[in-house]
Amino acid sequence: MFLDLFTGLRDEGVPVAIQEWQAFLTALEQGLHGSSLLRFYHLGRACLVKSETFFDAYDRVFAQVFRGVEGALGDDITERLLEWLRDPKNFPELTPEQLAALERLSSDELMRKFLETLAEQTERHDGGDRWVGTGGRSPYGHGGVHPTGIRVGGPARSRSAMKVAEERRFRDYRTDVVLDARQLRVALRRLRQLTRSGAQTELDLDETVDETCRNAGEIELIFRAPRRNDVRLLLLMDVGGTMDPHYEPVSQLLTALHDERGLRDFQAYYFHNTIYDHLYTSGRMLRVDEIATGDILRRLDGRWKLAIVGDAAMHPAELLEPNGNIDPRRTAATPSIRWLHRIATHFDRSVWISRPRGARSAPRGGSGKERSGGDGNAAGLGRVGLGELHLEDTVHQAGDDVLAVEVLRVGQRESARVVADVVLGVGGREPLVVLEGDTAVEAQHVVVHLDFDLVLLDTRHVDEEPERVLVLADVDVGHVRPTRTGVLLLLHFQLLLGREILCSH
Amino acid sequence: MEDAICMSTNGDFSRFQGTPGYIASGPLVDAVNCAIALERPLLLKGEPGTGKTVLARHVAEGLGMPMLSWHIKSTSKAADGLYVYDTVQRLNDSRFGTGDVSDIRRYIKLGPLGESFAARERHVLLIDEIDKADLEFPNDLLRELDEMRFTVVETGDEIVARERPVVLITSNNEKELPDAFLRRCIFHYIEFPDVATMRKIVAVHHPHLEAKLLDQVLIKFYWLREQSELRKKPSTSELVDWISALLRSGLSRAQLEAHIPFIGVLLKKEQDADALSRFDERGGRYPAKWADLGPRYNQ
Repeated sequence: MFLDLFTGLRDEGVPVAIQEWQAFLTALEQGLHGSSLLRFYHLGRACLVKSETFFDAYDRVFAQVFRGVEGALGDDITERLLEWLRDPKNFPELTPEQLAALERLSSDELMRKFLETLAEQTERHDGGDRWVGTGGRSPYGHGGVHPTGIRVGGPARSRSAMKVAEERRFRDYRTDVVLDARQLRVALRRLRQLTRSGAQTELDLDETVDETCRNAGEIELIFRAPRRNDVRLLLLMDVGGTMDPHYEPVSQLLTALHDERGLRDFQAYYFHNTIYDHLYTSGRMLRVDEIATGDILRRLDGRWKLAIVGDAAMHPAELLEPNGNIDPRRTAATPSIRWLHRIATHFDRSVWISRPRGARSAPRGGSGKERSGGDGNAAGLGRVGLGELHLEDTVHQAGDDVLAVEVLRVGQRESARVVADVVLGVGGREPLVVLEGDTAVEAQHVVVHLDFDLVLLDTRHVDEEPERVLVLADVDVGHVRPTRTGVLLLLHFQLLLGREILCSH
Repeated sequence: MEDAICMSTNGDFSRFQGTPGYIASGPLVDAVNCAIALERPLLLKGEPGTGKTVLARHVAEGLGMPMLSWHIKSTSKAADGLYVYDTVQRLNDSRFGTGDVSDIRRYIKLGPLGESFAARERHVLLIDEIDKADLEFPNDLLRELDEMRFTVVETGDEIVARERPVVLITSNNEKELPDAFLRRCIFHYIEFPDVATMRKIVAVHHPHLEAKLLDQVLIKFYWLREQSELRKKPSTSELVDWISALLRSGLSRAQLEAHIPFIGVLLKKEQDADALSRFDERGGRYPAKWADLGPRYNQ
């Protein structure tokens, strides 16, 4: 019964399970809807929809499935109906036996039959003897003539379910976000740098046992500070026009990190195209949200890890000229490149996450890329081109201690060839290839020449030696569903392990 | 088949009708009764200050059942709600020789969930702010909520619920709840009350408020809620507090028409208070009639 509602909801993406549907049917059997369509609506919503983000979808599906049902149906329908039924004047053509049978018909029975008929009806029916529709002699007709008819359609006196459903009050609550925040958090729990610091509140069992033994059995409790994640992350995001569709998922990703208490501290600021004197605390970048970049640098010490997300599509003038800001109201005497330098040197470890160029004609000049850490080399703003010969030079410059990582997309045979050519040219350590493909089967289609296994990357697989990482592809945050592997990978390497990253675009 | 569909006024269904102290909307009452009838927990979400926690108390009052509450903290563990084995006490007792330490049962203390199972009469159990705890916390409770039984591992006792408690769970929407948990609950989202409901709510707390003053208060309040610049919109409980402040200070209706005093009771964020004072400086005018708020507020 009412399967249209069930399938309609599932088509709209509302995750209704069979269990919930059965609970709903049980509730109907027990009469919890009380013969009122409005209460039926609320009952369905309470049993089937478990988040207010789906309320709008429920409204739409409900309005569609039960269109035409409302009208004379209100809370007092049964009373009026019973009254009308019991008045023999209304049924001149019925025999006394039929009248008696009518009188025995209870209101529940009538309502149940009505709803059942509705459920069986798969399309609007005009005329005919049985279906709900207009005209005709059906018991439940719109304007039809029939002794026991319930008139369908027309003005409703009380607040009707259809009105409620059509109001769509929950439209603002929809979140059609494909990326599931909870899934992210569960996955990101692994991103940690655990240290022991703070008040000593955890019982150190081993030490306690040792001390107790030394104490000849007298219990001596030793405490230590609990482990907590020590990563403090500063996120700077470019919300220029080209980046608009992308900042939402990444910002979600990283807020998920923080919510999960995976990060010790987390702050996010926004800028437009490139960094000048001020950053903004909200994506809308209103005047009230301004914060001086210098203030941020003062407040946050070098221990913070910096992640900049942006497509680095600024014009060279914006980057290099003083007063290069395209927004004439906000003049900045210092060229942006100086700010970038300052920021990069201030934080021990930083990373720039960007989106791929693709077919877009973006200015190729002067874009700041990744920033190396550790050795204080201020000229780290370099550019490496994939497929162009620069790459091999860089690799050879890097020498023996480069750990090459390729983040491949499934189906990119071109990349596989480059990996084979360039990466294997690197002496020393073996390359680790992390494939973005979802299944091992797909991965094998891509990795044709290479003969090693897929490795699930984990910080434990990489040891403590200070080696540099060559990443041959962008981490693609352009898709609505950014790959966890890609972003996590970069964050692992750059922020936690402090590897120098030479990146390609 | 006729018997299976009984009218709603008899039987157990209409048990909760709201209490004089709490104005519950029709759908909310239905959701509570549905949860009771289907024997599933009721999950409540809504803006802060809409009365989710308070509802549990009134449900208990309305049904005439005693109430147990479990206020979840970020450090809460699911097992603690069932029982806690006080090992440290037992250790201390053994060292200093008071009492019989061989009987573990003396050191097993039942948590709120465990108590509601072990009790002789039916309780209302409130699990407050379940989303504050760890991500896996709701999943850890699943089996116990379904089967209404658990085993104390140390003694081997099995505690089976004699009377199934009425479970009300509130969430502040800070974290997503796992799907397996949501499947088992009946869900209700407490919407922010509209003007008519708000009048009733205020009448419960301030029954002798003059009608015209109430009008002015509500106009200002709903106007504030409409402002998109505010980071945190004022909620029902803040409105009630504000009215108390206004009454105690003896402010007149005329003064209220022109500006909004005691703004600190309504707006709790510094940026919001600043935004409003800037509005004042710019010479903004506050609405004095319902018509000023737009067509949605025809009063």
